[in-house]
Amino acid sequence: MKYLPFVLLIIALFLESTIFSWPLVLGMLIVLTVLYKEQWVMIVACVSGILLDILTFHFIGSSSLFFLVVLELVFLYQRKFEIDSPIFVGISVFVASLLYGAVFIQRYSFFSAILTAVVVSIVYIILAFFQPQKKSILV
Amino acid sequence: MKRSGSSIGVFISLFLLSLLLFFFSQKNILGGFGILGNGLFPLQAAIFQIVRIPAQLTIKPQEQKVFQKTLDTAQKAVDVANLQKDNAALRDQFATSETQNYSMVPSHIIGAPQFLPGVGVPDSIVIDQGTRSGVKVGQAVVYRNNVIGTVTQVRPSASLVKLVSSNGVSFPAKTNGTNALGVLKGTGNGTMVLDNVVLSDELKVGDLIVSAMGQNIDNTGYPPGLIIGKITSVEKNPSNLFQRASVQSLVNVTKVGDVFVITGTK
Repeated sequence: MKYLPFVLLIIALFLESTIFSWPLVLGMLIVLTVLYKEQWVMIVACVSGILLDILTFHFIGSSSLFFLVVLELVFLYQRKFEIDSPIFVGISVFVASLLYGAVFIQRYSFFSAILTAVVVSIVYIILAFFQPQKKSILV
Repeated sequence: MKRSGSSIGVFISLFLLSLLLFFFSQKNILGGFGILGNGLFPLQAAIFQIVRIPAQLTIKPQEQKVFQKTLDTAQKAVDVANLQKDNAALRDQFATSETQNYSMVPSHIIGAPQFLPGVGVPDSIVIDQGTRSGVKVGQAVVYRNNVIGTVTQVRPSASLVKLVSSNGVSFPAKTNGTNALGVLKGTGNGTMVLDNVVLSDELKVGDLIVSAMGQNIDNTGYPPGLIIGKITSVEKNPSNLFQRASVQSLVNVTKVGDVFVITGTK
């Protein structure tokens, strides 16, 4: 069960590159950040971004740059405020998805952002339920 | 709080690494790291086939027969029109239109990201053939002589195809029945517009639109005579300089599994 977030991240990666144009990978990375709050999430974000760029034919590194900046902003926000809530996850995913759609010039970016925020918030609630103590997987 | 100052170092290191990769990819240094996709694209293809299963189950055999028959009828209409032009040209002893055979690379669609599967039409698709199979940027992609799009990016084992109906696409086209010449423009979501048609030319609802531009010397571009779609409505205003028509493609790319890349002439 502790590897479920990573399985979901891989599923999101392939769903985003095959049938959906929603920023699911971005959403899952924000969920990982909120759940674990550790540095290795940045490495996961970098690798995920590279893989996503390969599959979606973006310039390799472009998604990684975006993901890293977003996650760093989440970490900075976490220094001052509490982020362990579905509302924060939903709002941050919505805003980040809107920006992602604007940067990568996607169609229906507003509706994609709403749907991604809803789906990812539900995923966060489920994952948080099974990981109430939010221990590091490295422990 | 679990983060320390070293986390800033991690962020900066990864940021610089991503920036370097982005720079290399943009300048196409080391092939834009396209070779990294060799292991991923087969997996993407397998997953695409799995997620398409529910959509394929909804396709009734009768609907599939009607779809194929529609394409056959459209092709016959184009062939008849070409034969009539050939006969007229021979009679006038000017020239004949050549019927060319094209060399094609068959490929599977392994990705077609869209807003909602089954609701909209994607702007681009990913196919499982790339530079290893002779695919190049700019080559036309077809399905049974119907235009699907053009290759816009290529990796060793996969390519990105921008659909003919996506925003920003623009090329010369003409009607099959009346030879009215215009500019076909993609408007997104599977729809197109034949614009810049002079008022003296005739546009008829139901008439087929075919490509009018010949292939470039490097085998890129749309060969002439490929079916693009049919006219669904005509907008003609005598006060305007040109008339235009809405065009709908005969092929729903989400219901097609295999396409062909035209790599040259035989």
